[in-house]
Amino acid sequence: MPALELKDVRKVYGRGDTEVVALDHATLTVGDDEMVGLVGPSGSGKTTLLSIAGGLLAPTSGTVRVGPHEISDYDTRDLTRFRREFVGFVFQGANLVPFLTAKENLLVAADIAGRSGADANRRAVQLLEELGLGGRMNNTPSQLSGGEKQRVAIGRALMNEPELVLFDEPASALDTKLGEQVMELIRQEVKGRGTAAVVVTHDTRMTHFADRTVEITDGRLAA
Amino acid sequence: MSALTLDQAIASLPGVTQQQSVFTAVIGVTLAVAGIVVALFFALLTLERVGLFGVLKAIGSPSRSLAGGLVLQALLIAGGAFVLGGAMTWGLSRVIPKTVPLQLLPRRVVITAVGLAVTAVIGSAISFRRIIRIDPATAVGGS
Repeated sequence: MPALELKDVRKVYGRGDTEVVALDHATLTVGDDEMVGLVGPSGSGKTTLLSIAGGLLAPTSGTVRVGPHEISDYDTRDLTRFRREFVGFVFQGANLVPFLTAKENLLVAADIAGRSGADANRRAVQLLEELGLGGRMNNTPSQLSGGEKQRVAIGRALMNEPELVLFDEPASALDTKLGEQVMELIRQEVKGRGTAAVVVTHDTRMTHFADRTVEITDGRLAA
Repeated sequence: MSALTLDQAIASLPGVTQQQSVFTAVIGVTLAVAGIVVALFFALLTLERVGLFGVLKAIGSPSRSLAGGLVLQALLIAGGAFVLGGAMTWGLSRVIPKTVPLQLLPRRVVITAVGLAVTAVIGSAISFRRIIRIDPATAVGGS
């Protein structure tokens, strides 16, 4: 079963004269352990596509399926539950909770999903060690470098063993070398777990980390 | 002629009832001001955390638990303020001259505590609407 299946997805913002088509007839299938790069200039609709795939936005028309979940007609409450249990997000600016330590930031994700306790704690420690942050667990984001913060964010996204992890420009705030390290780490982590991933980037230097790359221009996909 | 209770007799002395109503009004206004301060404080705090709340919503946190957290924080702060204020009042009662009539009644203490708690909850609840309206989709895209 594919991890993500978008069929004929269309997303329109505004209406009437101010109507903007952000996505048009977008069809995309991501296999259950595939890492797909999504490349396009700003304004191409890649953020919209990522948001729809992750249940943050509802499509205007078309169907969205993540694993066995057909989310196109979920309501807000169902989408919230879906997001906390089945997808992981890594945002552009890491977006960690500023007053919590690295480990606590991972535990927040578990806590939201109602999985706190010794197991969650073990998992957080294990993830941080894998991400090379074994010695930084008790540091708050302000004490971490940009690359370290992004690694914590990756750990948070993987905390609840999602079926699909969505990365929004994970390397854009980092220099080339750090960006490549983070991309390599992402590849190791998702491949090691057999998790599907979609990585949005406008940086063509980062695309070779993906199994395949899909280009998006003016809301249309081209393989 | 009917007998008066002690309380009734005291209340009928000139000025006593008026005096008491002034005190009650002062306490009422204090609580109202406390409520406004809590409301403004948490409105500001929420405004500052719109981005963070957006991210937490994006990773699956329901508005309900974010709002619950806010109320809990307001209650903790009110509790701390109550303890601090209580301690200061008690300390003050030890040092002011005996000629100043001051009595700390348990009933008053309980009423103040409850009043502060209610005020904190109402004050923080002003920010609920803003929390509910934060769109989780804002977490993606812009930096």
